[in-house]
Amino acid sequence: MMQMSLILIGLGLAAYLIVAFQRSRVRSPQESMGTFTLTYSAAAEHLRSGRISEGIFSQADLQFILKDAPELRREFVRERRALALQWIAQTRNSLRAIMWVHRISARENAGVSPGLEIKLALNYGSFLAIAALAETYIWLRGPFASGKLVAGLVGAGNRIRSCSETLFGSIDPLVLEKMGAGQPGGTRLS
Amino acid sequence: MNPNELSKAIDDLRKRSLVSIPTQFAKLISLSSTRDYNTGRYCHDGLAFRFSAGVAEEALQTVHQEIFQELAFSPLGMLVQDLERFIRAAHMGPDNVLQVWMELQPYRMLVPRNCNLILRNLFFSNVRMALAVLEHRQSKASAPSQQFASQPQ
Repeated sequence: MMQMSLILIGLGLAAYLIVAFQRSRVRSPQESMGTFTLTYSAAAEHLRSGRISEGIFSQADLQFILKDAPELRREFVRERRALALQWIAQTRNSLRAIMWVHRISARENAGVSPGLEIKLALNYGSFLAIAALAETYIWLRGPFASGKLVAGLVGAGNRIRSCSETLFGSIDPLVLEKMGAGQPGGTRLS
Repeated sequence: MNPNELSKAIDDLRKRSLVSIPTQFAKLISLSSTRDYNTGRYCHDGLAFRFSAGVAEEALQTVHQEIFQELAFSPLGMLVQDLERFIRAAHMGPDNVLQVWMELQPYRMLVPRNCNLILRNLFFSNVRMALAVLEHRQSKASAPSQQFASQPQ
């Protein structure tokens, strides 16, 4: 009986590792978004462009439709809902890319700061939780009723970006490129 | 590339070619029409003659991106206003232009290269909504006259 349960635990663990490996392969931003530095700079650029979220969740646009063509309200909200969900998905992908870059650099970096690591992990965790909540809320009540959640998402994203900029700001892009390509040398953070 | 030359070319493009174009939409169409559909490269003989082909291309690309972003980020009300002015200024009747724009969606060709996917989709969505608002206004404006025409004499 004991042997059987040990075998089952072993099989379960092996299955978990296979699934985890497959998931990391599917989600690897390197495969989908090009090179290491491009991945990082595109992700940071997306997080920096707060104007897109302002445009999507604009109350002024909603007021304009309600005043000028109230018959188009449903169509307008449907369009903005789709855009809002796309924006959350892209923001999540950008942060995932930043965390991926961070994970690789942290593996190579002897001088990792535990304080910064905890801050990053907490912000990432809170971002994922708020993102899931915001998606549900947008589905149920539309994009214009979720202002605080969106502000929370933008805030968490910006905090992660600024933490990562503290980490990567001083690194030469060529060094980052080498780290991404898995090449040895030049992998210490200054 | 000399940044001074580039800023001079951008200034020249704005002051000579774009200043006489009354709406942002018409400016965007004008700029994107200088781009080759196959290569994605911009070409403007006058600007290339005054500067160089490389500088002209860079200037066109920069201004194209700027005007696109201005329109993509502008409030829906302003976009509707600009699009309405553009449609009224067209040589064909406004009804016709509106129908063609809704059917063929030529605004899809106005997006610069390397544009953020969400920004592009926001622009498409806003233009679709602006066209719907204009069509709605038009149908509201024509409804009373049709009603009047159908009344017995």
